[in-house]
Amino acid sequence: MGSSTLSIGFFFAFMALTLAITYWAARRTRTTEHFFAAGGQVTPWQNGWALAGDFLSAAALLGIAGIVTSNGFDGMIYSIGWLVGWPIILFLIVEPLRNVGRFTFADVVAYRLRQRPVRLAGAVGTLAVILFYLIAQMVATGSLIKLLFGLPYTWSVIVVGSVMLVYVLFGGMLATTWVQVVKAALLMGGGILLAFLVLTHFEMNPLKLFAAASEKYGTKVLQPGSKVVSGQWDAISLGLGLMFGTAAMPHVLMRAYTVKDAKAARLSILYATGLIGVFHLMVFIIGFGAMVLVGADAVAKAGGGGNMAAPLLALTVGGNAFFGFICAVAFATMLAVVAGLTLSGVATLCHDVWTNVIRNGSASEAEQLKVARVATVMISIFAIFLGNAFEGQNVAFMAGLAFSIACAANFPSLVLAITWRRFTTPAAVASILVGTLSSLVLIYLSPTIQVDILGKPLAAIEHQWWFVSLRNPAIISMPLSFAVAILLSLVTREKNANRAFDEMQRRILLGPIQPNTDEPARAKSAA
Amino acid sequence: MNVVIPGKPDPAPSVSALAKKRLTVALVLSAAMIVIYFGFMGLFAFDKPLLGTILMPGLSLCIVLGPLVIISSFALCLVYVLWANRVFDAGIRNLR
Repeated sequence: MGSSTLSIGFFFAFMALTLAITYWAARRTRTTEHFFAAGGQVTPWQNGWALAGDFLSAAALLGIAGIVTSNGFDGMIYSIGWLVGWPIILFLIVEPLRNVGRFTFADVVAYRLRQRPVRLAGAVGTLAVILFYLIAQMVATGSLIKLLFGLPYTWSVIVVGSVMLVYVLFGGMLATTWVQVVKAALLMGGGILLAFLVLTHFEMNPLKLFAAASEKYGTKVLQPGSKVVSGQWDAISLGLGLMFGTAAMPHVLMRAYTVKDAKAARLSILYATGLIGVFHLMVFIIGFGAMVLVGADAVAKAGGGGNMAAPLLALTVGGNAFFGFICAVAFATMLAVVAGLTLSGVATLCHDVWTNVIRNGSASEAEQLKVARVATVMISIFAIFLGNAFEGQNVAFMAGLAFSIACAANFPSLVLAITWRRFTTPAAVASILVGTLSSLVLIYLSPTIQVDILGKPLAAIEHQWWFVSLRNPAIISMPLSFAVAILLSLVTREKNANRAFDEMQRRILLGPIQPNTDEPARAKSAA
Repeated sequence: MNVVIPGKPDPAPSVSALAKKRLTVALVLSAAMIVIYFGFMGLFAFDKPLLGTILMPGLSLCIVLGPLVIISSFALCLVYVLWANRVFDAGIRNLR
């Protein structure tokens, strides 16, 4: 495609802008408070955009548009699932998180409990989520960039890994935030323009678009099918994983700490929900637009498993320049998401594992920053290495697995720590580990691994005693994790945790900066 | 209305009353979201023909309900934020 010069031009403009931001941010990143939480000085409106930028991966634009183009309505199941977790974050999680924690969600779970075991378990849960999500993103990124720009896979992965390293290493949360804001603005702008151009072909009436689609491909495209999500309980289980997994994604939760108080955190979730909701409605239009204006066959023929639907549609309705722009936006999207993921992995390694487990809570600022930077380099190298190792593998399940683990490992312990007086250390540790392990085991025994990856015939294994027919483990692993947590809390006693509950409730309401309280005040180290 | 006197133990009853109030609102709104979403997913899983009812050319029941779930997510968020900004934050100010 001759337009790749244009897309490379757009891409370099984005790189120049974000690297300039990183340079600017690097000069303002002096403490861990800056590195992990941008000094708490991001405004709710900026944070809302950054949350949208953090959360909307390339899958949200390219992937869902592709599913809609080839299957019609069913693509929306993912759009909806990725949105309904946000109200849960707002109602149950974000304010306690902001007022009690400092950098990670384990801050909140471990607040009343014994620090070391809970933080270690929390790190296992968080790093498992981040690892699988990062692999899924890196592999998708490598193959998409190869498709969009013609750059070889290995180089694509190396470029993305290195640029993300630069953002996080030098600019910390401040640079990552602004990269996400810029990316979210480009993504929203591109998405809205694309949907608008589609609708100009249909008298600005989405119903005319849907009618044209059903005329061309039959009414089945307007009806729920069973190709995208098969199995009744699997659909419910997928829904659970998407809803409560979103509500416990570490890189999303971490953004609660970048604003100045609980009210600002509350507002930023509201803005993010609105932005993500509008975006998903646009993607639905874009998917149907590609179905009618480009054609499902042409999209399938372009390769990439349907991912080319949105770019090809841009080419059709907006010409070469728009095609180049959408490709560059997709690239920016991938970069911003992996940067956010990496930063939350670094926060867990540095703040939870190093400072609070290994150094028992007493590490100097300089030491913590050094550890954070070493961890950033480690995770980036790891991501590049794994991205290459999994080239050509079917890793789509890993994103779903990440949501399932977040839902089963992180969500129960977080909610119980905030709301239940009797919650204890053994319960928290067991609930996180059981949630992580059961998700892994269940997915290993499901057709996702056994049939799709290992290539065994379904008929040969479906009568085995160990076979799990569900492709989405959340419906088993999440209740299991809750049950373990409740049971162990009832049979163990922890006087300190029980006593600290009132103090925690107070802090959830009033926040950390209270004079004359005996708790350690949130370290507000001035720049 | 209780005022925190510096150096004294906090007035636990009113903190826990406000905490309880917030939790009740949070749980009711969460329950509403869960009912809406799993109501929709329940139809998707167990009654596809109903969800696939064609209402008029270009419009099926699921294309009405799907965006409605998205819109209601935002609406519930808005309800919470309005409540929190007006009622809850005022309660917090009284505690301080």
